[in-house]
Amino acid sequence: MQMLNIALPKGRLGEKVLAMFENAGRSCPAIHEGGRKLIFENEATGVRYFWVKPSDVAIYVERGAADIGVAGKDILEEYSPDIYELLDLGLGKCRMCVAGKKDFTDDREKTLRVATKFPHIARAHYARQSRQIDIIKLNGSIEIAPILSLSDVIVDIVETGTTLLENDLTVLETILPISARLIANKVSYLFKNKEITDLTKQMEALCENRSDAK
Amino acid sequence: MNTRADGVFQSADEARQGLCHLYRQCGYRHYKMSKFEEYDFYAKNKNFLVSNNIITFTDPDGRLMALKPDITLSIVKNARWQKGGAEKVYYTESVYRAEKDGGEFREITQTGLECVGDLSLYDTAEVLLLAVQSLEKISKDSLLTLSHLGFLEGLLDAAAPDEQTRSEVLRAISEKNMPALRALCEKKALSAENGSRLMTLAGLCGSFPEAEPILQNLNINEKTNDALSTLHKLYDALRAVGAAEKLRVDFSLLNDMRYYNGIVFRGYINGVPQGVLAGGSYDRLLSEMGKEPANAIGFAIYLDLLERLFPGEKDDEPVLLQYDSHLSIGEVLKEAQALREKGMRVRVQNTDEDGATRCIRLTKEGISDANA
Repeated sequence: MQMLNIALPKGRLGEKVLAMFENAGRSCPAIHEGGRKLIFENEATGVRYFWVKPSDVAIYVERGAADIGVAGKDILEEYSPDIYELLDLGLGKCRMCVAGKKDFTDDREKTLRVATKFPHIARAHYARQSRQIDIIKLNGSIEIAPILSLSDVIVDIVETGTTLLENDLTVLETILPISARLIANKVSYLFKNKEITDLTKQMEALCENRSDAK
Repeated sequence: MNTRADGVFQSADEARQGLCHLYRQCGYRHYKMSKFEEYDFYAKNKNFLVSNNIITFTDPDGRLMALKPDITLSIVKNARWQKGGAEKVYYTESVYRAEKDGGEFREITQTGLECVGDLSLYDTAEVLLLAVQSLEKISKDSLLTLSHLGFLEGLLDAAAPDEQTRSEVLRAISEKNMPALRALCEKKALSAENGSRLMTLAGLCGSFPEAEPILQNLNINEKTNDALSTLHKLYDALRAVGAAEKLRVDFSLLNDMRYYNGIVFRGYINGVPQGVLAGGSYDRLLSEMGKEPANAIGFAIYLDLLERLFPGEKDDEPVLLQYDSHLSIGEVLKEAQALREKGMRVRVQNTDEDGATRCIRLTKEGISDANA
């Protein structure tokens, strides 16, 4: 059996994903031991896990450092990596939205100023509406932009909407639903086909059981 | 050339020479082209190109020129053949382009071949065999994925999606993205039956004997039938020469259907995270370029992707010949020459140097090897 290299997104989502992999028979006791190790291996189940920044998972997979990984749909839409998107894991659900001040009215006479961490998604969304926009790329605290009149609207991930509400902002449009996806490198898929398709099937069964339970 | 006993190349240089030799043996002519063409030529056919980022400059006559981003277009433009015959050429050239939009320009070395004219299935089989053989010479651990756009078109015809759905379907298939195809069925953009057919097709990845019964189930019209029969014949032909083991049928492999038709294929080497060989038949490009209807097929191998694969030539450290400045220069030259004739690489200077792996001293008393 060939070892599967798996890139896990650091954080709460990653912990849930790891639990799923373990339920799918790919346990790795070493990863729960703590310490400063970066890579965790279990030859018995044929896996090698490593934690990376969530937005980097797709890069590790696209370039083959990881055979498979778990990345948010937001990252996949934004960077369009050349990978296979095998499964919707149904975790980390949220929405990519356009949000603005509650009293915002769109004036098509003016160029719309859009603050976002996701310039590609924002540009594509407004291109579909044939709308000219001015992208303001920010790296965090996007919600503050419309309050300070830095932008007219924002394009960002909305989970519960609490942050928006507390700042007198509201969702104006939903661009797309987001969730965590199981992704695979295209070359690994070919050379480690059995390992990857088996694991995908087991993960899919876990997803189905979970939705049945609901 | 010191190729290994199993015929696998040891360096990128050797690969380039060896591949050219392979194609020449099959009667392909060497095609050499200039580094640039008029920009207009590429602009007219820009959808065929991998990237729209082209390096341009103005020549002394004020014409806008482009450093060539592609070779196939030039070969097709210049291809001449007699009725019933074909132009078969191979090349090793550099192309200049940015891989992704917004990426930096790179020089990419590619070796490949093109076959243009009145082609028969024999020519297609020969090109596929050459693709398999090329990969095997690069690494024994290689695979060639094969798809047939006619089959996919057959299924798309049956599903008759609108333009938006069609492009979403194609993207989903290229990503093996079952959730996206399922979502299209749920939106009623695809019927359940057509959706499940497309999902089966997207999920396919296996040898031809594994894939055939599945494809047989999806065989619903003339287009799919023709495609399946072509795949079958090609598989049989390659099996006859023992090259079918390396084939994998995988329909996630898509090329632009405005230019490509029929079979498309891509070659992979275990350990190189991208496809190293890309090819297919592109009869439609000829009509797009205003040529008379004919057939065309070819492939390219991206040699720069292989640089990490080869161990790299181990540069043996030259021996340092350190001479006494009282000696005549002629004498030093003579001694150095004598050492080189013994097969050594010899570097000469008159000062000592730390870190030289081997140092030979030349003084009035004669020659002394410090390491000996």
